[in-house]
Amino acid sequence: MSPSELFALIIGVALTVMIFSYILGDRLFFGIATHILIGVSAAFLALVVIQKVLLPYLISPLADHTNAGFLLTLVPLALSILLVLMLFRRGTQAGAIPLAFLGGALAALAIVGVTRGTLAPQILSMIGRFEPGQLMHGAEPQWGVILEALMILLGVISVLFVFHHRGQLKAGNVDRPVFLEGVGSIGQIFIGITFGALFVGLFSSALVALISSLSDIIRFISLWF
Amino acid sequence: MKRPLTLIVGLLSGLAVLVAMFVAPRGGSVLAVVLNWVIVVASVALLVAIASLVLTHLRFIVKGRKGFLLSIVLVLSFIATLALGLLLGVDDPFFLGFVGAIIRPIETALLGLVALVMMSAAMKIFRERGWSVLTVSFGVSAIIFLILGLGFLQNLKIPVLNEAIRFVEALPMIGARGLLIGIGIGLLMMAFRVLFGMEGSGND
Amino acid sequence: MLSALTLNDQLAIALGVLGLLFLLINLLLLKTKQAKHIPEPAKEAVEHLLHLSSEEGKRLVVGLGHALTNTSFDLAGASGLSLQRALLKRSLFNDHPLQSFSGDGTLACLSRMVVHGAYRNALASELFSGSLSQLSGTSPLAYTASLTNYIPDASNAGLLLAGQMNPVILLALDMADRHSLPAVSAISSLSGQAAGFIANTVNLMGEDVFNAAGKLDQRKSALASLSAQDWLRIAISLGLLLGAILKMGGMLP
Repeated sequence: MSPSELFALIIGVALTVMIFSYILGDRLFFGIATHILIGVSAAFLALVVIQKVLLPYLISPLADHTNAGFLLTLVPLALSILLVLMLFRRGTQAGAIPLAFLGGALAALAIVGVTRGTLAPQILSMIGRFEPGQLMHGAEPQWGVILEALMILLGVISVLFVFHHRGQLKAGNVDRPVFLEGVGSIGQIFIGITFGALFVGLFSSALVALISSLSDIIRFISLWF
Repeated sequence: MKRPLTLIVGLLSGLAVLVAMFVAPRGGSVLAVVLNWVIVVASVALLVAIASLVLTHLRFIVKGRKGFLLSIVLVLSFIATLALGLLLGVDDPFFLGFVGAIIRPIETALLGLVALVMMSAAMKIFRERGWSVLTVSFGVSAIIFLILGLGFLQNLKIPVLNEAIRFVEALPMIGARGLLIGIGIGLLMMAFRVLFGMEGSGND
Repeated sequence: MLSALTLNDQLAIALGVLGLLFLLINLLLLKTKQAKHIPEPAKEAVEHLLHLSSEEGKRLVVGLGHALTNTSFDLAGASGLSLQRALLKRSLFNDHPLQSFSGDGTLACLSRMVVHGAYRNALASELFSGSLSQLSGTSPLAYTASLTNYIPDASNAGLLLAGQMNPVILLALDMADRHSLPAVSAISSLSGQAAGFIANTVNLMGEDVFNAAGKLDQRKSALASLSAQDWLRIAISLGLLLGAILKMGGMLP
């Protein structure tokens, strides 16, 4: 192990132990390690943004006013200056225009993203399961495939109706029709199953990270014994 | 209600993106310009927020506010990284190694902690949330997928069992699809409210 | 021009137009009648938070998430801002006003604007402080760690997580649980909702995440979009059933 590798290992183990002190209810060492993380990652990201985004897309085009992109760059420059004014108490309101610009663009991207990337593909994929060629093998119905397609379709609709809160208002509470309650309960089963599977997936990833951290500590200890 | 100028700016930027993406799929150049602006402005917003973060912690240090020692740690680590990065350059291998040597173990350890937290939270879930359709199906599903995750049953190579496993593995997609469509519906409405200035910050 | 679009794009446009239409119709309908329903889980969560901020006079900590423009453009990351605004109105003159944390630059600026707007509208601009809405970290883990550090403060009354967060947020929820701090999670990502479900929180799921501010705000646009969501949900469900029948009959490509 080279001296630089050893140094990195020592730093890494020290920081790992500080983070794990959380288990014992410690706040000081956990706080120190996390504040180092916040400081280092913020500075790193600031440098990356300056070098990879602002210099090539904002500063460089402005340096050459004969460039076709010069005029186009004046717009983000003006918006950026207004944003920087937000750093000052009296200038906070100046940020409204660049933030409105961002909000509008993000809203439009969301409309396109949600309809084109989530809703339409999900709907088409569920309907696609009812393709006659898949449901029938010659003249023989494929009952397994038919049942699966039906279960997915009705299951998804039942999940959607878990969030249908429309009903009569009685004594401050919303009284939902029995039919909706029933459909919603079936939907809750599917949501529970999804959360259970997600839990296992998340737990497995976190466990890999835990093993990696512990193996670093073991590697460090084994250097001395 | 939004001020006219911010309303117009928001609406114009939104409509430009919408038109370029949907109505005229060949409006790529307009879209590229607007997205370029969005990236630049969002990057400046990040720098403004980072500057504000550092200034806030400097203020905490000057005022000697409770926990200011942690603020010193944050500011020092920020300045050290910034100075090293400016000196060596962001792509310098030593600089990248330095940043990685600090960030990687902390982030891995934090993720590892999540594993422990998840274990303890899962133990308590029935006590906290009680027995309901949702909690029972969650518990059963978690146990089944934990067992399936071991791969033991798949290795038995029994055709009927494999078919049953394939069926069970498809079940979580149903809930996920329903939830995603629900989230999509909610987000679509929010996007319309933002686009038409109905979701103003109250300061526009 | 539309025929040149794929089936997916045609359906996407239809859904977008339908959604907008439903919203506009409900905005018009609201003029003539009072809104009848309030979503239950959102109502429960919101009342919980209101009690915490007003009755105990302590601080409400709001985590707004870490993903609006950081990694990709995702408007769902801003879903906590309307809740922040609605809750802030009720805690402006408390000893401990609402404190919000963001893990995204744009979100931090927007949140700062919300705080400034709330004080300005209350004619108390001089009370505005930028530190009431902070950037707490630039990565999901840095954001979560920072929030986790802040939770044990004795003057905190409750924790609200509203926005786009990944499951690491369980650390903050665990810290809140250790200090008996009530928590509400309205996380817009699927894995974040699963994390909120595992933890000891009032957990909002699915589209309820976007509805929580409706009750507090009582804004016409928020209430109209609740009804529009109901309509769109029914339309999609009927569309799915009809589409399946047409597909089986070979009438759909």
